[in-house]
Amino acid sequence: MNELSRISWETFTLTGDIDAYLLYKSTTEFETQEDKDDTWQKSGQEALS
Amino acid sequence: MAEIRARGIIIKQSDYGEGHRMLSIFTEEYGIIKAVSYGVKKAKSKAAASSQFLCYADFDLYKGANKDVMTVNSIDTIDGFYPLSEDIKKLSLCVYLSDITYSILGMNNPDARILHILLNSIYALAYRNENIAKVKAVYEMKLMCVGGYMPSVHECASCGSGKVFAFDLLKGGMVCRDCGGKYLVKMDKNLYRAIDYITSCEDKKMLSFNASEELIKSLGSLTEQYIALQMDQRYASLDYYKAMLEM
Ligand SMILES: [Zn+2]
Repeated sequence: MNELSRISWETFTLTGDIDAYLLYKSTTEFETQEDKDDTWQKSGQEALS
Repeated sequence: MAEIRARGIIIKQSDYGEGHRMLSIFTEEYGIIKAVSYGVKKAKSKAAASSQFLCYADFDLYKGANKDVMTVNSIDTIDGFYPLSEDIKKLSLCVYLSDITYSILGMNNPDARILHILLNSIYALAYRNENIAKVKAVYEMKLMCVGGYMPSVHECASCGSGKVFAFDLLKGGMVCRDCGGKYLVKMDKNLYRAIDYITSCEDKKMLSFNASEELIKSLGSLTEQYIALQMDQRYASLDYYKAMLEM
Protein backbone atom coordinates (compact mmCIF):
# COMPACT_ATOMS: atom_id res chain seq x y z
CA MET A 1 0.00 0.00 0.00
CA ASN A 2 1.46 3.34 -0.92
CA GLU A 3 1.89 6.31 1.34
CA LEU A 4 -1.09 8.25 0.01
CA SER A 5 -3.52 5.43 0.54
CA ARG A 6 -2.14 4.78 4.03
CA ILE A 7 -2.49 8.42 5.01
CA SER A 8 -5.90 8.80 3.47
CA TRP A 9 -7.22 5.74 5.29
CA GLU A 10 -5.74 6.95 8.57
CA THR A 11 -7.31 10.33 8.04
CA PHE A 12 -10.63 8.66 7.38
CA THR A 13 -10.48 6.59 10.56
CA LEU A 14 -9.54 9.65 12.60
CA THR A 15 -11.94 12.17 11.14
CA GLY A 16 -14.59 10.04 9.47
CA ASP A 17 -14.26 12.36 6.48
CA ILE A 18 -15.77 10.59 3.51
CA ASP A 19 -13.52 12.49 1.10
CA ALA A 20 -10.53 10.87 2.75
CA TYR A 21 -12.14 7.49 2.21
CA LEU A 22 -12.87 8.26 -1.43
CA LEU A 23 -9.25 9.31 -1.88
CA TYR A 24 -8.13 6.09 -0.24
CA LYS A 25 -10.46 4.19 -2.53
CA SER A 26 -9.02 5.85 -5.62
CA THR A 27 -5.48 4.94 -4.64
CA THR A 28 -6.05 1.27 -3.99
CA GLU A 29 -7.32 -1.62 -6.03
CA PHE A 30 -10.20 -3.60 -4.59
CA GLU A 31 -9.58 -7.13 -5.77
CA THR A 32 -12.33 -7.97 -8.16
CA GLN A 33 -12.41 -11.05 -10.31
CA GLU A 34 -12.68 -11.21 -14.05
CA ASP A 35 -16.21 -11.66 -15.23
CA LYS A 36 -16.12 -15.36 -15.88
CA ASP A 37 -19.33 -15.57 -17.84
CA ASP A 38 -20.58 -17.86 -15.20
CA THR A 39 -23.59 -16.27 -13.67
CA TRP A 40 -26.95 -17.91 -13.97
CA GLN A 41 -27.99 -15.42 -16.66
CA LYS A 42 -25.28 -16.68 -18.94
CA SER A 43 -25.42 -20.33 -18.10
CA GLY A 44 -26.92 -21.27 -21.42
CA GLN A 45 -30.37 -20.43 -20.23
CA GLU A 46 -32.30 -17.52 -21.55
CA ALA A 47 -31.01 -14.16 -20.45
CA LEU A 48 -33.89 -12.46 -18.77
CA SER A 49 -32.28 -9.26 -17.74
CA MET B 1 -60.74 -18.91 -13.50
CA ALA B 2 -57.72 -18.96 -15.71
CA GLU B 3 -54.75 -20.93 -16.83
CA ILE B 4 -51.47 -19.15 -16.53
CA ARG B 5 -47.87 -19.95 -17.36
CA ALA B 6 -45.08 -18.65 -15.18
CA ARG B 7 -41.33 -19.14 -14.91
CA GLY B 8 -39.91 -19.46 -11.45
CA ILE B 9 -38.18 -21.42 -8.74
CA ILE B 10 -39.72 -23.44 -5.92
CA ILE B 11 -38.57 -21.81 -2.70
CA LYS B 12 -40.62 -23.90 -0.30
CA GLN B 13 -42.39 -27.24 -0.30
CA SER B 14 -44.48 -28.97 2.29
CA ASP B 15 -46.74 -31.99 2.41
CA TYR B 16 -50.37 -31.16 1.86
CA GLY B 17 -53.13 -33.59 2.66
CA GLU B 18 -52.88 -37.14 1.42
CA GLY B 19 -50.03 -37.35 -1.05
CA HIS B 20 -50.10 -33.77 -2.29
CA ARG B 21 -47.61 -31.01 -1.99
CA MET B 22 -47.94 -27.30 -1.30
CA LEU B 23 -45.35 -25.23 -3.13
CA SER B 24 -44.22 -21.64 -2.81
CA ILE B 25 -42.94 -20.61 -6.21
CA PHE B 26 -41.02 -17.38 -6.77
CA THR B 27 -42.08 -16.47 -10.28
CA GLU B 28 -40.86 -13.85 -12.65
CA GLU B 29 -44.37 -12.72 -13.54
CA TYR B 30 -46.36 -12.91 -10.29
CA GLY B 31 -43.84 -12.79 -7.48
CA ILE B 32 -44.07 -15.47 -4.80
CA ILE B 33 -47.21 -17.57 -5.23
CA LYS B 34 -48.62 -20.67 -3.60
CA ALA B 35 -49.67 -23.67 -5.64
CA VAL B 36 -50.74 -27.23 -4.87
CA SER B 37 -49.19 -30.07 -6.80
CA TYR B 38 -51.64 -32.98 -6.56
CA GLY B 39 -50.73 -36.61 -6.37
CA VAL B 40 -46.97 -36.13 -6.19
CA LYS B 41 -46.60 -39.29 -4.12
CA LYS B 42 -48.05 -41.54 -6.78
CA ALA B 43 -45.39 -43.63 -8.44
CA LYS B 44 -46.34 -42.50 -11.91
CA SER B 45 -46.68 -38.84 -11.08
CA LYS B 46 -44.77 -36.77 -13.58
CA ALA B 47 -44.95 -33.75 -11.35
CA ALA B 48 -43.30 -35.55 -8.44
CA ALA B 49 -39.73 -35.23 -9.62
CA SER B 50 -40.25 -31.57 -10.41
CA SER B 51 -42.24 -30.52 -7.36
CA GLN B 52 -39.01 -30.20 -5.41
CA PHE B 53 -37.34 -27.40 -3.51
CA LEU B 54 -35.16 -25.28 -5.86
CA CYS B 55 -36.63 -26.62 -9.07
CA TYR B 56 -36.43 -23.80 -11.62
CA ALA B 57 -39.06 -24.33 -14.27
CA ASP B 58 -41.89 -23.17 -16.44
CA PHE B 59 -45.10 -23.84 -14.55
CA ASP B 60 -48.55 -24.28 -16.02
CA LEU B 61 -50.92 -23.23 -13.31
CA TYR B 62 -54.62 -23.09 -12.88
CA LYS B 63 -56.13 -20.24 -10.97
CA GLY B 64 -59.46 -21.28 -9.56
CA ALA B 65 -61.92 -19.84 -7.12
CA ASN B 66 -59.35 -19.70 -4.36
CA LYS B 67 -57.36 -16.62 -5.26
CA ASP B 68 -54.50 -17.38 -2.92
CA VAL B 69 -53.65 -20.91 -3.98
CA MET B 70 -53.24 -22.13 -7.54
CA THR B 71 -53.10 -25.65 -8.88
CA VAL B 72 -50.09 -27.02 -10.74
CA ASN B 73 -51.03 -28.54 -14.10
CA SER B 74 -47.55 -29.26 -15.35
CA ILE B 75 -43.93 -28.40 -14.71
CA ASP B 76 -41.30 -28.01 -17.39
CA THR B 77 -37.96 -28.16 -15.58
CA ILE B 78 -35.19 -25.85 -16.76
CA ASP B 79 -32.72 -26.57 -13.98
CA GLY B 80 -33.15 -28.61 -10.81
CA PHE B 81 -29.85 -27.45 -9.28
CA TYR B 82 -29.34 -31.09 -8.41
CA PRO B 83 -25.80 -30.81 -6.97
CA LEU B 84 -27.38 -28.93 -4.05
CA SER B 85 -29.56 -31.86 -3.04
CA GLU B 86 -26.45 -33.73 -1.92
CA ASP B 87 -25.05 -30.96 0.22
CA ILE B 88 -26.97 -30.32 3.43
CA LYS B 89 -24.99 -27.15 4.23
CA LYS B 90 -25.74 -25.53 0.90
CA LEU B 91 -29.29 -26.79 0.98
CA SER B 92 -29.93 -25.36 4.43
CA LEU B 93 -28.42 -22.05 3.30
CA CYS B 94 -30.88 -22.03 0.38
CA VAL B 95 -33.76 -22.51 2.83
CA TYR B 96 -32.57 -19.45 4.74
CA LEU B 97 -32.06 -17.39 1.55
CA SER B 98 -35.61 -18.30 0.53
CA ASP B 99 -36.89 -17.27 3.96
CA ILE B 100 -35.34 -13.83 3.92
CA THR B 101 -36.49 -13.34 0.33
CA TYR B 102 -40.06 -14.07 1.39
CA SER B 103 -39.77 -11.78 4.38
CA ILE B 104 -38.62 -8.87 2.19
CA LEU B 105 -41.02 -9.49 -0.65
CA GLY B 106 -44.17 -11.09 0.75
CA MET B 107 -46.69 -12.79 -1.53
CA ASN B 108 -47.76 -11.78 -5.03
CA ASN B 109 -45.21 -9.03 -5.40
CA PRO B 110 -43.15 -9.53 -8.57
CA ASP B 111 -39.52 -8.45 -8.50
CA ALA B 112 -37.39 -9.78 -11.34
CA ARG B 113 -34.21 -8.25 -9.94
CA ILE B 114 -34.51 -10.10 -6.65
CA LEU B 115 -35.39 -13.32 -8.47
CA HIS B 116 -32.26 -12.96 -10.58
CA ILE B 117 -29.88 -12.32 -7.67
CA LEU B 118 -31.40 -15.30 -5.87
CA LEU B 119 -30.89 -17.48 -8.95
CA ASN B 120 -27.33 -16.22 -9.31
CA SER B 121 -26.59 -17.13 -5.71
CA ILE B 122 -28.12 -20.58 -6.04
CA TYR B 123 -26.25 -21.10 -9.30
CA ALA B 124 -22.97 -20.11 -7.65
CA LEU B 125 -23.59 -22.62 -4.86
CA ALA B 126 -24.60 -25.43 -7.20
CA TYR B 127 -22.07 -25.12 -9.99
CA ARG B 128 -19.23 -22.80 -9.07
CA ASN B 129 -18.10 -24.07 -5.73
CA GLU B 130 -18.28 -20.50 -4.46
CA ASN B 131 -17.56 -19.99 -0.75
CA ILE B 132 -20.85 -20.70 0.98
CA ALA B 133 -20.47 -18.00 3.67
CA LYS B 134 -19.60 -15.45 1.00
CA VAL B 135 -22.74 -16.26 -0.99
CA LYS B 136 -24.80 -15.87 2.18
CA ALA B 137 -23.32 -12.49 3.14
CA VAL B 138 -23.44 -11.06 -0.36
CA TYR B 139 -27.00 -12.19 -0.99
CA GLU B 140 -28.12 -10.76 2.36
CA MET B 141 -26.63 -7.37 1.52
CA LYS B 142 -27.75 -7.26 -2.10
CA LEU B 143 -31.25 -8.40 -1.18
CA MET B 144 -31.50 -5.54 1.30
CA CYS B 145 -30.26 -3.06 -1.32
CA VAL B 146 -32.71 -4.19 -3.99
CA GLY B 147 -35.56 -4.77 -1.53
CA GLY B 148 -35.71 -1.17 -0.36
CA TYR B 149 -33.22 -1.22 2.51
CA MET B 150 -30.19 0.19 0.72
CA PRO B 151 -27.75 1.22 3.44
CA SER B 152 -26.25 4.67 3.33
CA VAL B 153 -22.55 4.19 2.59
CA HIS B 154 -20.99 7.57 1.87
CA GLU B 155 -22.93 9.78 4.22
CA CYS B 156 -24.44 9.59 7.66
CA ALA B 157 -27.70 7.62 7.52
CA SER B 158 -29.17 9.88 10.15
CA CYS B 159 -28.08 13.48 9.51
CA GLY B 160 -26.55 13.23 6.04
CA SER B 161 -23.16 14.54 7.11
CA GLY B 162 -20.09 13.51 5.10
CA LYS B 163 -18.31 12.32 8.21
CA VAL B 164 -18.89 8.66 8.95
CA PHE B 165 -17.18 6.23 11.26
CA ALA B 166 -19.22 3.11 11.81
CA PHE B 167 -22.14 1.11 10.44
CA ASP B 168 -25.32 1.50 12.44
CA LEU B 169 -27.41 -1.63 11.96
CA LEU B 170 -30.61 -0.01 13.14
CA LYS B 171 -30.26 3.36 11.42
CA GLY B 172 -29.42 1.58 8.20
CA GLY B 173 -25.92 2.49 7.18
CA MET B 174 -22.85 4.49 8.02
CA VAL B 175 -23.25 7.14 10.69
CA CYS B 176 -21.25 10.04 12.08
CA ARG B 177 -20.03 10.17 15.67
CA ASP B 178 -22.97 12.31 16.78
CA CYS B 179 -25.62 10.01 15.35
CA GLY B 180 -24.23 6.58 16.23
CA GLY B 181 -26.67 4.50 18.26
CA LYS B 182 -26.51 1.21 20.10
CA TYR B 183 -25.97 -1.16 17.21
CA LEU B 184 -22.64 -0.08 15.77
CA VAL B 185 -20.18 -2.12 13.75
CA LYS B 186 -16.74 -0.59 13.44
CA MET B 187 -15.30 -0.49 9.97
CA ASP B 188 -11.96 -1.76 8.87
CA LYS B 189 -10.60 -1.12 5.40
CA ASN B 190 -11.66 -4.37 3.80
CA LEU B 191 -15.09 -4.51 5.38
CA TYR B 192 -15.94 -0.97 4.31
CA ARG B 193 -14.61 -1.56 0.81
CA ALA B 194 -16.64 -4.75 0.50
CA ILE B 195 -19.85 -3.03 1.60
CA ASP B 196 -19.10 -0.19 -0.79
CA TYR B 197 -18.56 -2.73 -3.58
CA ILE B 198 -21.62 -4.90 -3.00
CA THR B 199 -24.01 -1.99 -2.60
CA SER B 200 -22.87 -0.34 -5.82
CA CYS B 201 -21.84 -3.15 -8.19
CA GLU B 202 -23.94 -4.58 -10.99
CA ASP B 203 -26.13 -7.40 -9.73
CA LYS B 204 -24.43 -10.05 -11.83
CA LYS B 205 -21.02 -9.07 -10.45
CA MET B 206 -22.00 -9.20 -6.83
CA LEU B 207 -19.82 -12.23 -6.12
CA SER B 208 -16.92 -11.16 -8.33
CA PHE B 209 -14.50 -10.03 -5.66
CA ASN B 210 -11.79 -11.69 -3.64
CA ALA B 211 -12.33 -11.91 0.08
CA SER B 212 -10.40 -13.50 2.90
CA GLU B 213 -12.13 -15.84 5.34
CA GLU B 214 -11.80 -13.14 7.96
CA LEU B 215 -13.52 -10.53 5.80
CA ILE B 216 -16.34 -12.92 4.92
CA LYS B 217 -16.84 -13.59 8.60
CA SER B 218 -17.12 -9.95 9.61
CA LEU B 219 -19.23 -9.11 6.56
CA GLY B 220 -21.59 -12.03 7.21
CA SER B 221 -22.03 -11.08 10.82
CA LEU B 222 -22.94 -7.53 9.81
CA THR B 223 -25.34 -8.51 7.02
CA GLU B 224 -27.26 -11.11 9.01
CA GLN B 225 -27.71 -8.72 11.92
CA TYR B 226 -28.69 -5.95 9.53
CA ILE B 227 -31.50 -8.07 8.06
CA ALA B 228 -32.68 -9.42 11.41
CA LEU B 229 -32.82 -5.94 12.96
CA GLN B 230 -34.39 -4.21 9.99
CA MET B 231 -37.00 -6.93 9.51
CA ASP B 232 -37.37 -7.35 13.27
CA GLN B 233 -37.33 -11.09 12.83
CA ARG B 234 -35.41 -14.10 13.98
CA TYR B 235 -34.95 -16.77 11.34
CA ALA B 236 -35.04 -20.37 12.53
CA SER B 237 -33.54 -21.40 9.20
CA LEU B 238 -30.47 -19.31 9.99
CA ASP B 239 -29.96 -21.21 13.24
CA TYR B 240 -30.45 -24.47 11.35
CA TYR B 241 -27.89 -23.46 8.71
CA LYS B 242 -25.37 -22.61 11.43
CA ALA B 243 -25.98 -25.92 13.14
CA MET B 244 -25.35 -27.69 9.83
CA LEU B 245 -22.06 -25.83 9.41
CA GLU B 246 -20.82 -27.23 12.67
CA MET B 247 -21.45 -30.82 11.76
ZN1 LIG C 1 -25.02 12.07 11.60
